[in-house]
Amino acid sequence: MKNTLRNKHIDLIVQNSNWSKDRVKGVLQEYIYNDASTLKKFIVYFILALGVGFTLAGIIFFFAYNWQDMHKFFKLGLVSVVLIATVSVTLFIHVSTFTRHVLITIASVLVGVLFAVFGQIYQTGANAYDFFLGWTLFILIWTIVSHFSVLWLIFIVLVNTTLFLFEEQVAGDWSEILFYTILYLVNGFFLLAFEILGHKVERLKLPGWFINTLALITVTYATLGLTVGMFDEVSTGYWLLFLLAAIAYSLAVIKGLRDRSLFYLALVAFSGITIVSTWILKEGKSEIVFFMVALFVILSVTLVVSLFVNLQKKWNNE
Amino acid sequence: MSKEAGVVKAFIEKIHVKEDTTEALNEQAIFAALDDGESDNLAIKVLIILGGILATLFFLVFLFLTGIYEHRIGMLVLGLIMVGVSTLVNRQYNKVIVGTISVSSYLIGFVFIGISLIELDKSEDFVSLTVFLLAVLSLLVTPGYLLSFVAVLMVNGSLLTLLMNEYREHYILVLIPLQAWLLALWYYNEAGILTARNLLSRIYYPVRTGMVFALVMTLIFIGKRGLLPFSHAYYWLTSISIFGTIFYVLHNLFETLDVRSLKRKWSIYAVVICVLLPTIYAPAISSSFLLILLAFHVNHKTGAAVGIVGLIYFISQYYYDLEFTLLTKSVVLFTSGVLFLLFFYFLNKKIDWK
Repeated sequence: MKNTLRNKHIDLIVQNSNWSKDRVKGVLQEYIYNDASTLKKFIVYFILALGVGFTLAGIIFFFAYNWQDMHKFFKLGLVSVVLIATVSVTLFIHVSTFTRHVLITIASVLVGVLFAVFGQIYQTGANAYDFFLGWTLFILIWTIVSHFSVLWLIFIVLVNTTLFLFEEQVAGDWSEILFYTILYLVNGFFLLAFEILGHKVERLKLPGWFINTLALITVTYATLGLTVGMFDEVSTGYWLLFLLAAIAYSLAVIKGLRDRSLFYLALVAFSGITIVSTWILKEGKSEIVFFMVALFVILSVTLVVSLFVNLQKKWNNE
Repeated sequence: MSKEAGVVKAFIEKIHVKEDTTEALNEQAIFAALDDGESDNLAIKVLIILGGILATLFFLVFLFLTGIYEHRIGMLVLGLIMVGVSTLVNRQYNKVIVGTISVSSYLIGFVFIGISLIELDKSEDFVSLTVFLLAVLSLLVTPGYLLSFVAVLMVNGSLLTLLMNEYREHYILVLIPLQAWLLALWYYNEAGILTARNLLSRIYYPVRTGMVFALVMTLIFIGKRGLLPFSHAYYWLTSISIFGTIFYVLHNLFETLDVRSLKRKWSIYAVVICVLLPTIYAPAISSSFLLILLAFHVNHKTGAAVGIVGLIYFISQYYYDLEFTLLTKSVVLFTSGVLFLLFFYFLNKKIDWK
């Protein structure tokens, strides 16, 4: 009952009863507020996150400082020793799975530090795409083996950074639509893989916040490609992205309906509304087009929302 | 009966004492309200707010291209009507269907009022005050969830523009502790405000979420160096008040966590003050820490999420703005990191997880 009963239910009961303040206070504490064990868990993990975050930031800043008199072997050696120590603890010392995950995540960030120090010594630059590509590839196995959501998020961010830098430094002739299609496909691939994996093997299911973030990133790229690409000459590339997005959006709608979750449905709806609004703006010849877009947004959002409310009612009554 | 109604019914059956004749409860009204109440799904709320803002922006572009701002009085009247009508409609017909249209007409109304007053050569203070009073007034009409939420942000926004006028900026150092204190009171008086069964109890939840966003909105002004024209030498005054509020929250947490011994209480206070002291010139950091503690205690997920994002941002911004060499920064960060890790290790050993 604790997880299904919400504040609004308590509120409804209070407004339709003569419950006293103390009575309500007791009910809130028992059914809504976090209990002692959840609070303890949160406080401990909060401190852990602060510890890991500050320590890693300290290590990164330490090597970002331009050490003039430290010998390059010493510098590289220092990072390597810390890295090896972290990995050794993960491998050889008996610690909980969660601690292992945290340690391997720290090690993955240290790999990046090692690459950065290397780049600093040999003047390859800290934002060269191959630096990020190397980093991404070298933590790939750890990421797959640990299958830890935070590490996966770091990995996804690295993949995207590598792609952005590659486009900037090497593939200057990529059209915008091609670039967004690639970004969309790469992120979409991971999303699809995680969804299928989580569906097939319950143990390998990643937490909702991670999947939702990845879905948000993927849909954003598709939307960007389809809106920005509209203003270029219409090419087969545009229609290819359109087709790919249409397939993915249909899958997302099916999934949303099956799981009875509005997140995917809302994401697809908002992307669709954005794309159609941009199209109206592009086709418009006079100022009145802005008025039409405003009207379209209000009408379509209202329509979508009423659809969602009805869906929720239906799910709720089944 | 729907699943949701089933949960509520089971709850009432479990907790309602039938023999106690002093306790009255109108089940019929509860289930009727549950049946046609506003949806509280987060996706729907976000969609309505985003759609409302987007529509407002496009509509304003249209109006400025067609030169409406030349009709000052007409704009003022139209603005007042839009704010008034959207608030009243939202109060009477509290459904998500009217959400987008009422949010956007409410916002457009305020933009109209603001611009027409500026065009009528009114001072900035006059404009901010008018918007402030109108926003408070619309909140008192008690519209639905989303409009009340937007109204709270409007109140805070107009207050901030009022402070940003004419060398009054340093009052923000007073505004922040006030906001933090008010938020703590609001969070901890849920039962009290709801059972008052008055105007405030109708807007309790949207105001709570609105206040969370409003606090972070205000914090940005002191969280990023250089946004305010005065030095940060007096920031410690704000910090001290925030620390006081954090202690009040800790005091409440002790009850839930069943910390009784005085010695233990004082050692926790001591540790927290040691952690907080280095942030004495960065009240934005301690304020977001306060928000996280508060929101997590009463299980308000939106508040906790906003607090965590705020904390990460303000800490990064603080170290970025700090005029130390990278090496000093590194030593400071590394040392605090290791201390936190040791602390984690110690706590993890000590806590009885059962």
